Amino acid sequence: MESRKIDTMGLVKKYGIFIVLVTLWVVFSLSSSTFRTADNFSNILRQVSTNGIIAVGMTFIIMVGGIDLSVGSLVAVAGVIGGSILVANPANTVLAVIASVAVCCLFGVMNGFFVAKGKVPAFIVTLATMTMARGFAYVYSNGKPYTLKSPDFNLIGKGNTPIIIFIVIVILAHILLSQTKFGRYVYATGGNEDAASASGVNVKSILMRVYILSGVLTGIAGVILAARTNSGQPAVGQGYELDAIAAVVIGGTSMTGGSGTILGTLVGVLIIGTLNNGLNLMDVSSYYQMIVKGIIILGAVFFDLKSKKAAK
Amino acid sequence: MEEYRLEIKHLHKRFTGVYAIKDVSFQVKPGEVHAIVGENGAGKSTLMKMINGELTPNEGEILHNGQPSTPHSVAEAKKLGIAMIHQELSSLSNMTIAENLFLGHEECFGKSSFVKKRQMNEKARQILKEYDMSLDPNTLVESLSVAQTQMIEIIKAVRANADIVIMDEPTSSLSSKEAEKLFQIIRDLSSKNVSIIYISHRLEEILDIADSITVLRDGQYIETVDASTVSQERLVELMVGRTLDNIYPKEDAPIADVALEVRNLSRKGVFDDVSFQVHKGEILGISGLMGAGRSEIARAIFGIDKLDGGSVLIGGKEIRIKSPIDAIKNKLAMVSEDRKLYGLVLCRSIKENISLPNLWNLFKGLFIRSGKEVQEVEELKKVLGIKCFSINVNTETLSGGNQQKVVLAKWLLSKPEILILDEPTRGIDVGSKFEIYKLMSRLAKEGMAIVMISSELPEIIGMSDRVLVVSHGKISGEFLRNDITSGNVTQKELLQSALKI
Amino acid sequence: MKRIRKILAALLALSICVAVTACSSQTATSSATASTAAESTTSKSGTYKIGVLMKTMSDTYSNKLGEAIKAYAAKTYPDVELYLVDAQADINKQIAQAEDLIAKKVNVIVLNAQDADGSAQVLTLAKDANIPVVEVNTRTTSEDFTAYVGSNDEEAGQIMGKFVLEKLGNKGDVALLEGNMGQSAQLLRRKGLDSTILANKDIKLVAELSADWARDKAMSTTEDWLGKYKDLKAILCENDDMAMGALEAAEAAGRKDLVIVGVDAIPDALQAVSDGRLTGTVLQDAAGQASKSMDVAYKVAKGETVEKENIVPFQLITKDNVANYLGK
Repeated sequence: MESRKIDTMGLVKKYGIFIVLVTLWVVFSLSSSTFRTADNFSNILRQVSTNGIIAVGMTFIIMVGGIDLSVGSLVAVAGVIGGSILVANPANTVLAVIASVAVCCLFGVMNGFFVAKGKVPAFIVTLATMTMARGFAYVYSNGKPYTLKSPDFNLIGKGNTPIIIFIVIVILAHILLSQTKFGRYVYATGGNEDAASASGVNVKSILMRVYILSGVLTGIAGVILAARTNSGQPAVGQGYELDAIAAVVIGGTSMTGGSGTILGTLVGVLIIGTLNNGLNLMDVSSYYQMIVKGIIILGAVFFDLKSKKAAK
Repeated sequence: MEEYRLEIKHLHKRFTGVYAIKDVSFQVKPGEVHAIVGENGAGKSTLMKMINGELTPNEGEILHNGQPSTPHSVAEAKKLGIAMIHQELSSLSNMTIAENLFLGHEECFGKSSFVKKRQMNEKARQILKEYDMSLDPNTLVESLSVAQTQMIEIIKAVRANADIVIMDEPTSSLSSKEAEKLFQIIRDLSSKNVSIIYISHRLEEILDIADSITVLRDGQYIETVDASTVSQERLVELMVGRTLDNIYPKEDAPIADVALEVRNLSRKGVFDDVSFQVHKGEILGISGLMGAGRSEIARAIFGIDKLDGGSVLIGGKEIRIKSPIDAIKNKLAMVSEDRKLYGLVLCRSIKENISLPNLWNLFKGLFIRSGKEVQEVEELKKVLGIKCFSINVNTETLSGGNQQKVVLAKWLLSKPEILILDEPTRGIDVGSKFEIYKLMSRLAKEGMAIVMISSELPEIIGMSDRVLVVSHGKISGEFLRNDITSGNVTQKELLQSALKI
Repeated sequence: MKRIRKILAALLALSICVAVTACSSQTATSSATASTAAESTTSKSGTYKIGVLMKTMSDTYSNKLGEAIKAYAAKTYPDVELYLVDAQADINKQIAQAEDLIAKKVNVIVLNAQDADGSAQVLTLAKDANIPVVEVNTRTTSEDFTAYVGSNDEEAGQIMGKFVLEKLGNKGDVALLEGNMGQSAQLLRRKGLDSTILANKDIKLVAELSADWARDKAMSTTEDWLGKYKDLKAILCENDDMAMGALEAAEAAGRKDLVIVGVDAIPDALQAVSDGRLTGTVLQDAAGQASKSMDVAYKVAKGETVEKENIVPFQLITKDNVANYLGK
């Protein structure tokens, strides 16, 4: 009797947020016959792939107790860099991808440098980068969107490609975090920077690498988005940082750092994507959608915290 | 007046089916200083949290002045007159003393929300004087010493009309002089009919200050004894449930070559011209007052703080230690004085904490081989007797003694040749202390060089082969074990050396 | 070793970055000479100062309008000193920029309103400073403007509505992608659709959602719809960016039969119409609006009287007539 009770509690604790996702799936499936089709499921996955990839990077960042507000602007940077190259020569797909990611990587280096070596609070550093990168995207593109006519590049955003890229990144990130020394050091740095440092962890290098990782992943997300919409737009990606942070937090990563998982973030990303898709299918008007989303985000995290507390 | 200020009746508390407290009952009289003792994990904290309203008991009740009044929140407990002075102090460090004292009941002009700053400061000054503290009420709390901050907490509690004050390890970070002052205040409160519930691991001071002592073991009530008649040995027996032969199991070990030597170490304003040697097989005790620079010397050797001058030699070779990474690679290990700040990542598991400084060495590739890791950690868990459900539980759920063992384990896994222990037994229970002493003795016998920094003179005298005394950032004395044990040097002389300028 | 590799990686990244900038600046020179994005003034000091408040330079139509204003002013009115600023779709920024222009004591403000209510504040500010305002393309809720130059967005809706109605043979399921709710373009274009296609009893509006004028949002929303509404015949889009998003989604889902129509005739959309992918678009004549607004503003600056309403008509563009507009 007693032991069974413990088991259900343990289950709720472990899968609290997952239960929320499944509940959403059940509710939407019952209310919309389209929702439960395989096509729609791949729609959801494709739509979350950009936010999902950004959220994976954000998970590492929040895990070390930081935050990266610059990701939304970096999505635009990746789009205009890639766009400009492809407009010049539509065959230059590889260069476009590498350059987009490389420039975002440089912004990541900048974030990492000021956070790790400069000890400037991450919020401030990335707020500054967010503004700078957005400005850079406008200046670079003259504020004008690039129209892309590269079939090769378009393939990156088509069909199952974004889904595959997303899933591969999730798997790699999961392994990186749970099976490698780097992952351990990330947890330790976020949990207690001083103790990690006193245990011989090169905290600065870990911080630096985490911000670079976020920059690179955001660059990849930007490339996918540009390929999906066939255009490189300087205004795109506004508010993406908040979507990513929401996904990470829903996924159970602590804002103070030190705990969380990639799989949690995946569930968080899917919850947001499912909400967008399901509410669209239920013909809920855009503005009610915002309210519903806010309530569900708050409710999901609240439920998660409650169940964790109850299980303690 | 009621016969009892506080009556605990058959309290039970379970956490996910496991008893943390099982059928505990005792009474506290008005004005009584009532100590609660027990090893870590005996349930003292859980019990206090129930009295303080942080936790609600599963069964049983609490009577306050004869009224059934089990508090359901800290605020409720406060209203009843129950206040707790935490180990981790809860004053707002970026506010002044006066602001802290009046927090929550500020005096304002009429019904406005403009505070009467000058009046409050003046009142605060008088209050401080009452407690024999000559401090400016405008001082920021963060600039006070731990002892002073604690005093502010106590004053706050008493001013809020508390008639029961719970103190959890109040002397753990006080010097003996400061502790003496605290005892005076406790006696003072007791004479004003305020009851004190006092938790501490320092049995000497408990015997000194308490009227009666309740012993807990494994969550159960054992006995309440009269402090004036019980002996320390008897108390320890009650706590651990068995007899201990010798508190300090120091064995003689062959002392060999110099393992670590430091020459003319200095750090501006902290310590200056510090030189000493530690040999293989030797336990070097470093004594001195809090704030004399002992921990700072250790931190600088280990690469946490920067050195302004001097050199560090390991095995006769000069090495440069720029960060703990260099120290670890040179077979140095340090258990720091503050395990929560520098020792543990509290929100991570025992396993991860233990392997943290050793990952670079244990696993040469990119991936961690979890099988090997679990095996190493399990073995250390057995050797050190870490009590836990599993090595995957977070270290924050462990008792102080077990946390300290985890810190020791993580450094033992790095197989150091030189081990620096800074206050290795602070705030941990008698049983764990004994185990740590035994371990130190064994490690020294196996050839490890050990530096032990401690504020507890009995420990220093009991465990060290040689004792250095640090005073005002300089080494002010050196004593050999033979001289101490033969009685040529007394505790008093050691203390005098520590007080020397 | 590790460090060297790190440095190498950084250098590589940097060199790529430089290469990118170099080759892109080559391609962008033609447009780059025209302006910098943030603010541009003609170098000559003129007799008249005209300030232009653009809501944004980043959606395709606004960009076209802004660039056309700059080009037309430089060519036609050498005695005008032009201050053109970009509010980046932020109403607070637009009001702050209006205050700056007033402080510069411009003779006329040309306002491309960010939103109908918020930008009305600009007119109040200008009125207090006795500076006349010419509204261009977007109306505000204030009546204090001296002249309005623009196209009647209701007309755009009507043109689109009639066209799609005819294409569908007066019956079928349609969906509607709306812009930012509450902006006058959204309200009026919707009104034009309401009075034409949506007034027909055999046309069923199965879904309507806002995609905030944005391509990525329109794409996701359309993907969701296509799974649900198998009988969908047409998607009405209140601008071309959304139409292009809807088109990407439709093509990915193999629904090339869908009738998709937008408004604005941005280059992307024109090309798509020409390629037979997009059914049609409605041209909002940016060049026409630009020249008309500068003409009106110049007259106002000189103190001449002008018409209050200056309507530049919309034009329907389909595969049949797209050749006339391509490359224009």
